[in-house]
Amino acid sequence: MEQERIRNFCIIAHIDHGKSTLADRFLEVTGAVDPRQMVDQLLDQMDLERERGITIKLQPVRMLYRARDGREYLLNLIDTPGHVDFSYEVSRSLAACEGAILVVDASQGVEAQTIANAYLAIDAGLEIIPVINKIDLPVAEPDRVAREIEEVLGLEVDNSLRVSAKDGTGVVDVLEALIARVPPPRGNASAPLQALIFDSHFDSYKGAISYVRIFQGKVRRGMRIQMMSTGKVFEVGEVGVFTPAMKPVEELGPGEVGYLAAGIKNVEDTRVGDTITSADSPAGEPLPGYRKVLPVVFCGMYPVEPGEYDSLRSALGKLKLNDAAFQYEPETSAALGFGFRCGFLGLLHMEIVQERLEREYGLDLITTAPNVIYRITKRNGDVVEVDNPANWPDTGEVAMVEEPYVRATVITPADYIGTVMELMRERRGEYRDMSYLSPQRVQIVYDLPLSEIIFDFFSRLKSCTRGYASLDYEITGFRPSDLVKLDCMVHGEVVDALSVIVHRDQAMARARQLVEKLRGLIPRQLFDVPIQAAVGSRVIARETVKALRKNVLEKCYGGDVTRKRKLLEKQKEGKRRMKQVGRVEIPQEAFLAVLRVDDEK
Amino acid sequence: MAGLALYLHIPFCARKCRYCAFVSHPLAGGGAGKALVRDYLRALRREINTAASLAGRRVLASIYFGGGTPTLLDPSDLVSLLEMIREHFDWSDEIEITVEANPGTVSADGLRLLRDAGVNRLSIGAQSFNQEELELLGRIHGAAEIYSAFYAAREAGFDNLSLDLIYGIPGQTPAGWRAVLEEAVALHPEHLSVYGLSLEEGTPLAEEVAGGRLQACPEETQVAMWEITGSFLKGAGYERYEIANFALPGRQCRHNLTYWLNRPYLGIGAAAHGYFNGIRYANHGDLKRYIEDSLRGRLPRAREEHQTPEQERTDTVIMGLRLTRGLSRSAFRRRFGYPFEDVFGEQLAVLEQEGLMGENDEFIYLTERGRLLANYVLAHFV
Repeated sequence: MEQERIRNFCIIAHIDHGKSTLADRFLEVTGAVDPRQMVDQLLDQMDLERERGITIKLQPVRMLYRARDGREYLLNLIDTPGHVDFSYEVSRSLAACEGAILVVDASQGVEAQTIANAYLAIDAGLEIIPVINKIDLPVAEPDRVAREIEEVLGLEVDNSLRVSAKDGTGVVDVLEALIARVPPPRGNASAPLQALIFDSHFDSYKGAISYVRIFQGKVRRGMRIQMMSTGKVFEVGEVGVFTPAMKPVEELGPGEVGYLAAGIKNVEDTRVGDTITSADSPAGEPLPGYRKVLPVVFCGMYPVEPGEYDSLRSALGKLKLNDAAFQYEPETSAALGFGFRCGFLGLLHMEIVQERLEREYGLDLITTAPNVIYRITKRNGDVVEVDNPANWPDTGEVAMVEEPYVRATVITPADYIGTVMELMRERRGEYRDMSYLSPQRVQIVYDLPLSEIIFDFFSRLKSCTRGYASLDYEITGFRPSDLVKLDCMVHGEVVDALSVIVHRDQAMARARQLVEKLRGLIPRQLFDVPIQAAVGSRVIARETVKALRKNVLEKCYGGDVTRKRKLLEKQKEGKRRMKQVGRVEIPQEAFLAVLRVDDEK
Repeated sequence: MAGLALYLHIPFCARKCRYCAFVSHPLAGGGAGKALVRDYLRALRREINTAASLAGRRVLASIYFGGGTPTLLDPSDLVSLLEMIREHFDWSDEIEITVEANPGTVSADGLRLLRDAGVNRLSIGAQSFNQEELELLGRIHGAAEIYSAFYAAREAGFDNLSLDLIYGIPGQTPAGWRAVLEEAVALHPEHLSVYGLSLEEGTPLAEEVAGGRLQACPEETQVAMWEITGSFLKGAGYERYEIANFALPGRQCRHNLTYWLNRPYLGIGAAAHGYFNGIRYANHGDLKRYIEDSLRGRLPRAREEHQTPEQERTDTVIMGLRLTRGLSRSAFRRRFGYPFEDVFGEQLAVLEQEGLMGENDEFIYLTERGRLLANYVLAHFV
């Protein structure tokens, strides 16, 4: 296909504004997918994505579309995730495109992620086509939403682009606008190869598959390529496109989107954001990569069975290949043995990785309570960054503690201003700004600690605004805070995996909640088990799990031996999922109790 | 070869007790109830027939009519069931035939009929002698009916009587429980079964406790009652020969020993369990289904489980350790071909260390503390 008739685009939207549904319609209209094989959220391949109704992985697809001008165009769609945890994936998609469709829900209007994603696209220099979706809803207010888009984002809204992805209204007009307004890719076919890796996945037969956007030059089977960041050279075994299934083609030229497999076995050798060039006539400069994404939430992951350590390591390696933002390194816990400290973009990201490890790799995991990274200045002037409470220096050594702060933007109906501000205050927030997007809708800006926002902030925000508020945040840097480490002792032994970092003012309340929660979770043993919470050497809360005195099935219908056996099997199975710490068995849930103490309030 | 045990389930009750989670059907008065009983008895006979033809002519060492309330049936119905069983099986000379009898459902004449037909043991569901407790449990009788049933049984010639008692009833005190034991022992039964009340999900009693209207008996109190039970009954000459069972010398329940020694038995009737030819089975609990299947000449089984050698071993251990004397090493070795320690030596050592198990040349057993924590201990062997 000649370059003139290629369009590379992505769809950006606030979560639930209908992005995946619109993508489904594009696939149908262009005939890319046989209607009989069509399922909802077709591009969301993971079970998890469909179950949760979210997009996690970006999934490219190539479509052929015969436009009203009678000519056939090649459209490459790169899907994007909508959740705030995954905004880095959005920027990766943007770098591979010339245009973006900005989908806005006709009843919800502009939301926090609409703004955040639109600005990312504007910064990336993309042609943005605003589309108002869900006009079939009885509560749709397309005129109001169009005004909002124009006033808040300064984007002009074409009145013809009011669609219902659900019933197909206006979908073809969107494709026509795309062809008319998004510029074709530039790039010289005879220049040295420059291909941007925007994603990758691991295939057990072909090795690492790199998802690429060709900026200039060509790549074909048999060609020797070089990774510009590492200098490593590979031979291309297969190039292809996404239909959305992977389909081999002869070559990929400038502006095209596809994949290449080059027998790459090592996870680290196909870095997302890297540029691939020709080994024989390399390009002078790599393409601008992405801002390296740093994880902000950390937790320990340990196999329940110590024997599964190697399986866990290899599973983490495979996940990492599909998930550039995820990080892990080995760590040892006195309580939990050998495991890994893992870094994530947010709590949803963490839950997803955990769930994938358990589902796709059949691993039984113990996950410790997540925390952010802290910067500690010691009395001797050393500065250390701590991503695991177990590595917190002794209280005597600490001169200053800093924690990451974010600037959080909430968009909410004006009725909930008070409630949102109350929540912000509760979470140690500092007021920055407030402005009316329209008489009914307000944008509120606060600075607050990242640690306060990653733990159930979003669900609290949703519930106190009856689901109407939306949230976006960006990390602004470190600020000093009065933080202490809260240790937990079970039967006299400090359980390192239960330590948490809390603000000094909250230490007492958290300690009480924590020991109470643990008392409910730790099964009774044959002896009394004291549970204590301490800051430094000072115990500030204490509970006791009373010894088990009587546990016997007396009456039981005489002949029903099976029932007796089943009961004992259940009891034994329960024990298997626990971790022996000293003389006490601690169930998996206990390690997350630290996180969930707030739930019952 | 030791004789076979036969269990028959009679799933009818005058009304359901408030703590009961077993399969039992409150019997409606009038024609509908009579018709149901008639159909059920036909189904029972049919199953005895079917089971007997599969089992072959075997010697029975014990027969046990359990429920429900078997004595809710007309005594002549029980007698004719026994006669029919006699046609299909040989009876050992020492056969033990037990009928569960509930106070308020027995008469002197009826009991005499049973005795004459060969029934030689009654298990009387007293549960308590305290009027308030009996009401809380939803029993249909008072203390007076327990006495009259007991004396009527003696009168009818029964020299082997057992009383069922329940402790740990909401509101019960250790002193109150001791008084119940005293009244029971004053009757001089040959055998006592003593159960801690367990609050089974879905029962009215459990719901009242969950709803906060009743206070469950605290664990500490239950432990105190357990200890009182052991010492008081021992003083009265009763040996705790199994976790919940006490007997005068030579009066252990032979039928129940079948279960504890993991020996085969036939279970007949709705919801009955059996263990025969290496298969554990459970009959349909649903009466309609049971009756239909049985009358069609099918075994009315809801499930069957072929025992693996490991399951047989587990069952032998977890049932055998319930006996006070413990699990016989030589019997274990004869049955499985290797010594107990070969598979469970490690668990045994740990549990002995914890003071929960003990051993001598012939037996491996639970200590007194181990019995109170039997679920914890036995889970090591599944």
